[in-house]
Amino acid sequence: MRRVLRAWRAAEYPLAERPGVGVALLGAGLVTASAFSATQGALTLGFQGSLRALFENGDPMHALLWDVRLPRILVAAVVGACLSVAGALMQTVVRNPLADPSLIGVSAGAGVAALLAILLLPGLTYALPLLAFGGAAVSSATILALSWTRVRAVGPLRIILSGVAVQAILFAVIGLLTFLYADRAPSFAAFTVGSLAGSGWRDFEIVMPAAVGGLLLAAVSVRPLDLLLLDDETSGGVGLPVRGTRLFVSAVASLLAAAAVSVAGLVGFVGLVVPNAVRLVVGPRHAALVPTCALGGALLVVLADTAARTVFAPLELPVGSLLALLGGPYFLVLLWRRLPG
Amino acid sequence: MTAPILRVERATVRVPGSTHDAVRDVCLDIERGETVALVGPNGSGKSTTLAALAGALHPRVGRVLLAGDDVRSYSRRALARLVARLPQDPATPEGVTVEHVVRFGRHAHSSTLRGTDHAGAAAVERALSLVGVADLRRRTMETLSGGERRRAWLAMILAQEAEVILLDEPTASLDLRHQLELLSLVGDLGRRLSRTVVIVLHDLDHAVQVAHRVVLLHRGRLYRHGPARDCLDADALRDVFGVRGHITADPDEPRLAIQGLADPRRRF
Repeated sequence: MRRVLRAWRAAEYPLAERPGVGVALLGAGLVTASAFSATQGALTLGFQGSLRALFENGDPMHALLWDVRLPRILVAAVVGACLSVAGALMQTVVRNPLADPSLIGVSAGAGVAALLAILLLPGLTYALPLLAFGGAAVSSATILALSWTRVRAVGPLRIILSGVAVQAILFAVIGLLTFLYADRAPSFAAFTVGSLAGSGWRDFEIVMPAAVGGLLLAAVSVRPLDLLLLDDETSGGVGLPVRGTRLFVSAVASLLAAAAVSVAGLVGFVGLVVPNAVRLVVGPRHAALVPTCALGGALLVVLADTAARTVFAPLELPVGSLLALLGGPYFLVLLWRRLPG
Repeated sequence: MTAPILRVERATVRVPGSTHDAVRDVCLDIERGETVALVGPNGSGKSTTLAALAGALHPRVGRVLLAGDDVRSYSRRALARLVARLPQDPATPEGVTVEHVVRFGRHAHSSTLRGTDHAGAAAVERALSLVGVADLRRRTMETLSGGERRRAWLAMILAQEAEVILLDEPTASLDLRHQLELLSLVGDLGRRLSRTVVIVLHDLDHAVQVAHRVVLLHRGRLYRHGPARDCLDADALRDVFGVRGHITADPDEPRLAIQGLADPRRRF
């Protein structure tokens, strides 16, 4: 056992050549965490109790599981997968491990659009991800344009600072909306920190098309994504239309971030924490990175949301603030290690 | 007589972000199967000319024709199947193994979904062994020495199996043995594999050894071109490089002999 651990620590990317192992481990983890989450709550069911409740129509807990806990777990998993893959894609596009949709204004752009849609077009619930995508696309285009210098790599500070500025503007807009529609302020507050409270099948139906679409597009782009690991001159030389690929990938990342935002609000840091952790294990190639990020993000948000609704029960915390408490320090560590001076 | 594989027509090229033209009014034909060395002092426009030949920079005035058509009319993919260029100093991708870098060279030949096919895998193997990095295939790029990394990049563009190969100072940061190996490989590319090679070289001696023809650039203009013996004569060495020297007479193995500064009192 000790030898295995030592070999693991010595290897640069222990699972780079065996990404299937990572996928299997994370998949098993996700199933276990989901099953655990289903048993937890105001009424703790236990494993056998849950199984019975799951399949026996007459069981008193049947409805609780099917209508409350299951859909919420599924939404948490989908939101986590979307945010995490969106983060991985953004990091590749701007060649910066600190780029995360929630840090550089992409989620905030989706959030402003989603809030406006909820206020002004309340009937269009199912179009919410698409409308949010519009907002996310505008802010990611702004950030790309601002950081699109002719130097080889976009400087790590430049992209983060442009994002911070864009984010500040968007949060000001959200603040204004909250002020103007003060009667709805409580739900706005939950939206701004990111919460899965009350998520049901309807949210699952809202998020699924955009999430599945975005994840599939990410999955079929893994080869061009790998080429974006090279500098533009080199990747262009081997035949990659660099700008077009960048635009396409940022659009996919925006779609995924928008899908998550439209059901969970501004949940942050998932796209920063998961890809950076996963990359250390499976390496930077996207055929391994995209699936492990999706599963890892799903696992993280399912666990975090389970904690959010049970730790201080009956008080329920917004999952977004838990994730920020975890992600903020992680971001500082990355910043500390990555930026010289 | 067939058309030249590459033709530069009165090209004036500016590097993006710069305020002056790095290459001015250059005309140049490159024939199929030729090995051409681009030489000149620092800042004479060698790399810029090479980038224009690769279609990576477009001339502000004039144009570059590849197999008779304007390079701008090619898609990135179609261009990459005909022309492969080794840039001067590619950024090192962290965590990517040598084998995967070499496979990137197959991008223009492979489908986005299915990736590299059998022929492609064979081309990758050939390229790995041609530049002697097969042993390094599982190493990640950032763990290699400068020279090893350079050879890995070279293997990548060889895997591209393009007809035209453009090399920007491929011998830089290589040790002596690998410099000579690389020059012999360049010779093979031309002779055995009948590729067209355009190579930017700093070392005139290397140019004399390897090239059919030398293109001498001076301050962004074409100073002179032709066989090394004629091109790099005492006048050119004095006027362009500011050194005294000549090419030794032995016609089988021409060598460059440099005696010293043309004007020893002037430094920098």
